[in-house]
Amino acid sequence: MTSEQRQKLSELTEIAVENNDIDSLIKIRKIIEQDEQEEFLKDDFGIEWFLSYLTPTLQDIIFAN
Amino acid sequence: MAKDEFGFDDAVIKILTKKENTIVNAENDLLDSLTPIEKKIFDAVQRQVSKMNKDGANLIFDDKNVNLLNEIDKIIADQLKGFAPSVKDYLRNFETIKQFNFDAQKSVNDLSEKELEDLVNPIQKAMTQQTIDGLTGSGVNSQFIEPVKQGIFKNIVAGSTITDLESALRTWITTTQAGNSLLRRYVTQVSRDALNQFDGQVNSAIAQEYELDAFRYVGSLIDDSRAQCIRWSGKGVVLKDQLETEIAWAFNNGTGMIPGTNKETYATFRGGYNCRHSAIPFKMTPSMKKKFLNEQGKEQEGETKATDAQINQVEKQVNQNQKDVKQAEKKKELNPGNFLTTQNKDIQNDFNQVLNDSDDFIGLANGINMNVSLRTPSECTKPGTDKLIRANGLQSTPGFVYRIGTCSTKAAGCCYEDNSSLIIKIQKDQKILFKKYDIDTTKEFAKEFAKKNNLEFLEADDPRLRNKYPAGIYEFFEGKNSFTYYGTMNKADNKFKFFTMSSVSRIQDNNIAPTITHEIGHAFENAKDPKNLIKKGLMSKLNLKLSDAPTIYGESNIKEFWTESFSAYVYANDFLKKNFPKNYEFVEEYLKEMNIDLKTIKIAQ
Repeated sequence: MTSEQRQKLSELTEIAVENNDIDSLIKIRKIIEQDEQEEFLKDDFGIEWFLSYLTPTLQDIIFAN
Repeated sequence: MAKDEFGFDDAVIKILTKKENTIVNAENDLLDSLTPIEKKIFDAVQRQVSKMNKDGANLIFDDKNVNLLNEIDKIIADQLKGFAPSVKDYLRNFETIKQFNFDAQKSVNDLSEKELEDLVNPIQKAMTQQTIDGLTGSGVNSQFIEPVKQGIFKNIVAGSTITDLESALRTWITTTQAGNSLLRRYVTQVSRDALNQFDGQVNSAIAQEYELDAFRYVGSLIDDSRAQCIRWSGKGVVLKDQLETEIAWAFNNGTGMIPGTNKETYATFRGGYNCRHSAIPFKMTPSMKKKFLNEQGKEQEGETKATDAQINQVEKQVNQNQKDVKQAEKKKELNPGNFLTTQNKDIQNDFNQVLNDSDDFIGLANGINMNVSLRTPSECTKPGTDKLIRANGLQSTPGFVYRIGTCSTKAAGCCYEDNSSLIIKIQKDQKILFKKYDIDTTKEFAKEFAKKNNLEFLEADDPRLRNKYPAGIYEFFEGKNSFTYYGTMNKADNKFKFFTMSSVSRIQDNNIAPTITHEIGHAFENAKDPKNLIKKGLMSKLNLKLSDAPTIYGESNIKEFWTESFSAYVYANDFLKKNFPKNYEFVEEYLKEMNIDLKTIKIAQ
């Protein structure tokens, strides 16, 4: 994933969290997970990073789907 | 013969396929030969244990049995001699594998058999010896004979029956549908590792010796092939200088990698435990490498574009959602022509917020042209109403004044039964705060509440009450020799009740929000249950009486029973649930019966 793509996903995640936009957060989660499969090495941009945006309740919802 | 882009021709691929099949067949042949041997071992051991002393059906722990046990090693070892020819046949496969590698290396890297012999023979010798030890020596002893012996010993000590022991022996020594014997499990592991790792070690040694810079990853894929094997088979080639990142990828994303796999041991361990793939080292020409890297770059570019498309799709969704949320957040407002007030904008906003927090009250009011007014006490009289209309820039007519109506000096608000007008009275220092109130029904709470709010809790025998009034919270006006009461103790159950929910908020914060919600409750029932039929039915179903109301005013009639219960539900939800559970149920059921979505009723937190 390019740095521009990461930047864009960060922005979208923030907006989606603010609006409790579960559907979009699940899609973002999938894009990040797919990226983790593609990247040779995990770095600080990954699911851990994504989790840091979510409240425990949102984490439960997003990862239950 | 035509070669692929990495210089491998069909003949080489065939050799490598044959090599893979040889390893699989060698393992299968070896394991097949185990079946009769397992049976012989079981029979021999069973004969031995049948000689053991027993007390009834149970084995006993005595010298004779210990001596018989000590002979078990030799008995099993004797039977295992029958396994030796199969092991010998298996070992011949080292030579076959070596030969396949020589043939492949001749074709791919133009390395002669002669120059490879010196490199590969020591590996073959070491691996052959290691395999012999594993299949016939100390490995079999520690992994099979010793566990069987220990198991028998434990059964003797425990005084098991001979039947139990025989059943255990069958599990350890023979292979059934229920599972493999200890021997078969161990031989499977050794035989799988032996030829595969020999093959891998040969390739590792060749790669290092001839400084080959790439590995062709070959072998078939099956349904449960590991992620790293799928990845490397898909790429076809793994460059030596990409090994570090590739191995890291496998450890992070794949499964079954062998600890210690690194760029030096990659060809040996490849995709991990029991991996049947081969990593054949070869030299990439510069043009081949350039082309390969270009292809990888294109793939990367393709992935980037695909991710862009996914992100764009999510962006559209996020933006649409944000738009929807903003739209929903945009406050609904009463039709300007139906809302009259002289209050400032902040108070109007607070008022509007409370209206918005109760289902679609505004929709209801706008839909039937209900006049809603937030007025000072002086604006509640007839002349005051006239002034209020004019202050709002509207033309005052007797009909308009009549329709908007007035509100009694005693009331804090009112809602006309035909829903033509809803009036909320607001005094100079009063506020509108949507907040939760923590209240209770105990006398201690009432006393504490009174104290905190500079009121008096008067007992029933207090002379100021002249024995006419129940104990409760009073505001006593000494000079006027009069008082206002805000709540009383119920004589029947000694529970404290406030006069209204609004009493609580007015005393504590000068807050009139519960009055607004109370009147909204009337608006709902007027619109959806004008004859009180639903209410009556529900109260009967839940066995509720007026005296069950959460406030004194709620005991007046069923309309006030509902609106006081509703106010308590909104502003003191925990209190109502805990102290008046049937009322709580009544509120929720009544809202549902009126087709009001519970989710649209905001509970003060």
